[in-house]
Amino acid sequence: MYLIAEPFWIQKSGCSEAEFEDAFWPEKSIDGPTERRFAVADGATETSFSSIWAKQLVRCYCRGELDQEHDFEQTLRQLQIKWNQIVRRKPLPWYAEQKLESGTYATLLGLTMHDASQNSSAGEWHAIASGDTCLIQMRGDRVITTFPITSSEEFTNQPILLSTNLDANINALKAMCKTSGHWEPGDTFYVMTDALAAWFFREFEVGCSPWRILRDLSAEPSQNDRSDKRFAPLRLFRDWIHELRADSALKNDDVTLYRIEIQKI
Amino acid sequence: MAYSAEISRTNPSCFVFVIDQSGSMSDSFPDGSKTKAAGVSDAINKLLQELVIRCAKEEGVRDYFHIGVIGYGAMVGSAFGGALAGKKLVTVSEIANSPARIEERIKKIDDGAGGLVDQKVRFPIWFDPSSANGTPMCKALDDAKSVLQGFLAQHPNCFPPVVIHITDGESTDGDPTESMRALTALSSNDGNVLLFNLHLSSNPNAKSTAFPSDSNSLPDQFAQLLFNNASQLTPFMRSTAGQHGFNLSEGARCFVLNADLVLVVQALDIGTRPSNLR
Repeated sequence: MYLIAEPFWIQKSGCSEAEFEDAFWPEKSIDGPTERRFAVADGATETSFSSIWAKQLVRCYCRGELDQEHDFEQTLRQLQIKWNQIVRRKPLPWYAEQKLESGTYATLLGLTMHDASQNSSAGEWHAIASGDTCLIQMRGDRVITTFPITSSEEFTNQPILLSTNLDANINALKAMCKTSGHWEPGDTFYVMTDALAAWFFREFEVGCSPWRILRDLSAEPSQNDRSDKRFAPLRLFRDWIHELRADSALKNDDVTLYRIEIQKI
Repeated sequence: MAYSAEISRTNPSCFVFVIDQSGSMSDSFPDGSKTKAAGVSDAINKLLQELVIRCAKEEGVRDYFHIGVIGYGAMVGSAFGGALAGKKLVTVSEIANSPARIEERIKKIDDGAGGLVDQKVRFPIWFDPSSANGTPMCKALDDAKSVLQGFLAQHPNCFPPVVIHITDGESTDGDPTESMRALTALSSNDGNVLLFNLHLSSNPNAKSTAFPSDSNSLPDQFAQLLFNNASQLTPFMRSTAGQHGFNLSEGARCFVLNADLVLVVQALDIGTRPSNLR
């Protein structure tokens, strides 16, 4: 298996980069022959310190501590203790203290790509999901998998999320989804947070091919453009998101897209 | 579509509370637990606390809202106490950083074994109860209008300001119809100012009416006046009302009659829950 994987992200319009509350892991692009884990989380805007929680979740998944072999509840409990230690390092004003009582929340989508078996060029993948961060598997122009959301109507403002509040996680763990499938060389996986995923589904449902835009985000620039930063993939992605927001085609939210291509060798 | 603007630090919205502080507010609510003045004061302080917490993020408080509290009774003007006294409109972060004082109150919490235990909680106070003299409602509503004209000039694309007017009696400085109409005629590019009229009762036999869509069952001209000049609830407000158990149809008005304290708190939540904070 040879993977080329690249993250794209942008904060809400009107916010600084430091206020970005999604998280993804690995943080850098990947280009290599290897098994890999990927994770994207979306910290809840209406809570505080959600970006820390989102980062903890994606790193924990990619360390392999949030999968079938581990006790989810126990792992989350340890993360919750750590989160509390981090956010209480400095004395907080009265309102920050009171806000912390309700904890924070984040989605999590974790994807593990397993290597091909010895006699085959294809292999397996596994995924878990809490909330409305989505995974789409494409084979050419065919949508092979959408997980855990299957239509634009399923997006609501109140998905059940993983929390730093132990009681809230009882329902979140019950609602956690798991799935698995097979990949073939040439397949592309997209992991995206809800605003972009909702756009993807809306486009798909009216007969468009939204994956083509996502696939072409880092189209090879012409020889003359190669040193021009305007043609850098992240820059192109951000310009495109600004356009969608200006056309009211995309909710003003933090956006993360992780694109994972399995190369044909 | 109206009432869909995003509320952000660069495009904040506004709440103005117009509170009756006339002599009759010293009467108790029907359950006898508190005077109407004290009950409304607690409800507004609790709401201000919740708005601050809603806008709090790790770096501080984000100014999604500007807030005014105008009292009318012995005088008409800003009802903030402490460092905010005299200020007609302040940001949420100013509210967060300048309570007049922080009281310790007792809250009953679940003890985990089927019972309740007392827990001390910090309760910030910005607004104290007051009840004296007449009911200069027109002057107070005109003050609210002038505050909002200034806000709208600076924020023409904002989610429309919400005015929550709480009273227990009739105006003593004239018919407030024109003042209410002038207030709701103000608008941003996202819609007209929304006016809530919350009428309180101290009569235990008075039948309360919440968010009616017609005035058929209203008992008198004063109730008609408050109903006629109250705005219609937005679809998002109707959905918030649904979470409080109200099943409202399109056309439901931002109006309650003979409210007890529970209904006041519910109406405050319905009027101030943000739909689109960024």
